Amino acid sequence: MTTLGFSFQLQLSFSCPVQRHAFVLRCLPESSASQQVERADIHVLPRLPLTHSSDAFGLKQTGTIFAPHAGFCVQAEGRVQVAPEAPEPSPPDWQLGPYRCHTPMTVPGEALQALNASLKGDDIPDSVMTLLQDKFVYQPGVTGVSTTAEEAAAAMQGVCQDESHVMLSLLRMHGIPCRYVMGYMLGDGSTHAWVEYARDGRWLGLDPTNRRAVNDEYIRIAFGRDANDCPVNRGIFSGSAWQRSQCSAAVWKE
Amino acid sequence: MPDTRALIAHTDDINELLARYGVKFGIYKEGVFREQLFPFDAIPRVIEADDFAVLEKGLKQRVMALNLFIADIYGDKKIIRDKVVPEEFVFNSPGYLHQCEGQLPPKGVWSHISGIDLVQGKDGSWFILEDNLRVPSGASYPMIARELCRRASPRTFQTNAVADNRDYARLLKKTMDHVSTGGCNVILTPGRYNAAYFEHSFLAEKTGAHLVTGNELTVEDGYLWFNGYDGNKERVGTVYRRISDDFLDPMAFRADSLIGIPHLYDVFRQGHVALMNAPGNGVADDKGIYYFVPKMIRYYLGEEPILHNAPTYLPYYDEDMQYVLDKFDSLVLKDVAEAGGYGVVFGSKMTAQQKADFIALLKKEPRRFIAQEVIDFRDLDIMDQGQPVPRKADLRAFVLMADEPMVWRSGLTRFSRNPDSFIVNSSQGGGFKDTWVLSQP
Repeated sequence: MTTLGFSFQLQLSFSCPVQRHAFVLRCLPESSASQQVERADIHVLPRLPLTHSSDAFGLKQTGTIFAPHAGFCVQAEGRVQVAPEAPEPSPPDWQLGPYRCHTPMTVPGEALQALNASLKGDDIPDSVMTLLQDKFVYQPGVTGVSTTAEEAAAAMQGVCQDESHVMLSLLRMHGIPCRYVMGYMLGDGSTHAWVEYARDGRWLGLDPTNRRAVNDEYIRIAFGRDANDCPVNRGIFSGSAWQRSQCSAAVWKE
Repeated sequence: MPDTRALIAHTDDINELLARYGVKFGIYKEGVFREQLFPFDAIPRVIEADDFAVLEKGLKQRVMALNLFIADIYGDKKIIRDKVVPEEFVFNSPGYLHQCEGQLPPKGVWSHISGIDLVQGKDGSWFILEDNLRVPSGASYPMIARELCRRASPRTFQTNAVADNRDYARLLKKTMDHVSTGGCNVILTPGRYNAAYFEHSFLAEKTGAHLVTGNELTVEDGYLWFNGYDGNKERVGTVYRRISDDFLDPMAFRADSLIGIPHLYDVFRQGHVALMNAPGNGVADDKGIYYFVPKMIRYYLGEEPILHNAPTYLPYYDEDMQYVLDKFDSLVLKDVAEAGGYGVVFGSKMTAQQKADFIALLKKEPRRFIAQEVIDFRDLDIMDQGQPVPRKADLRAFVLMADEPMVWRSGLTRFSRNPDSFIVNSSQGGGFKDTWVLSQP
């Protein structure tokens, strides 16, 4: 059992004031078998009451700012006890179909077929990890939020989101139910992404970017079939403004 | 056969009035929006009372099973556990929305208004062509046509025992009230450039619901509010939405939707408003899922299906693929992702090259297509330059779900004006007829 503290900050600045700004935030962890949330707070500016709820992807905080505003700031912090030795139970196999089927982000093309053909070994998740370790280059700036697994596999470079998508795609090609996880990690300055796959009734976490199984340095925030299901912030506003966004996260051992 | 000569003499008058009332539908063709008149043929489709009784029983059964299927898919998924439907047909379907997992719509109704398309074979037997559960349209056309026919030739309706079809509005209002979470009813339209805008305004008027666009609705304090022109806010209990799932709420579905209402889906999930039809129910009207509906009826209801599917093959199954390849020329092939008569091809009408290309695609993506026998339709007569001529026609029956399913005793009969065409969709230039259900045998 390890106690982790976390903080998260998101800052949006608009080139001119916007209004009717509706948003969905996913930045607070939820208690589960592998993590116990001791404290979690969130504040936004401009100030407004947030609606807290949960859905198929985890906890979320939602709201709408009707009045004109030129900036939007989110601050979250809290403390979580993590216990990766007690993984979360997964639903029975027949209910895992949504995680076994490809999404538009993970549909394999030629590059992924070729990667799949080069997998060695009987343990598929293990072989995928080895393959990515050998071949995938961590390279920020070459991919975007809408880059698909196939595009990332063709380039064999990208960030944690891309590597996770490639892994999801390869696992699904073998009928292994798996999901995309967004959260915080000790030593990462922003949000992080990794993969969980279901085996023997449990969700097991693998972090392809850091070439390791998920340990006591991770806090899970949201999950889905791919990154599109669970962005940290989703918003829509009226006004013709450019938006700049800055996002940072920190995790420490307490 | 009822005597309709007096009525037919008024065909042109009725069409002129339909045009004046704005009974049109719009289509996008090559990126340009055009409004077209929906040509009305005055010879009604007549369904005898005992024939309709069978239809009614079969339609209720089908819609009950479809509702149970949708609830199961977003819940326990028992039909998948029991291997009645393969999971890839469900979760790869564009109608399946993962956001809807665990959702419990008010009163457990998922498909409030179902438009079930049928055709009648030469021997009089009915076949289901497809189930439309997302936002089926078309009920307003026979409603207003009947109104005009009654005005043009009242005697026709005194001498023939035709079931009144004006109660659609009552059924629809009952359906809205049944699921309402408290507050007013609204019909949410994307606006006047939508193909079915006439229908939206007509149904709003007939049911006393407010006709609204997305920017007249807001979510505040966990509820949905209608902002009236007088500046007052009124709580909304039911939204009969005529916009698709994708565009309903940019926070939950397509992020680039400008016609949706942010956070509407959350309000629905909290049980603070009813959405009809419920989001995600498109998973049951996928052309690939159609094949499994008779199996669903047996699985959920333990009954034999009263109405039959058109004989359908799924190339996904090897045995069916072989049959499709053997009998290619006699089959019609449908792309499961398309609607409105698009993506439908006849094996017999392809050139050798088209056929080779299609078969290559079919082998590459077998799940994408279904194949059906071409049914020998019973043609219906339409008036063409003063002469009755036979044309292909189908029937869209409407089933509304309140505490139990209700079948509207009328329906939209669409026909193809082109004598060589089997495709009757209005977006492909077809016309429509009134549907008479006789009230006495």
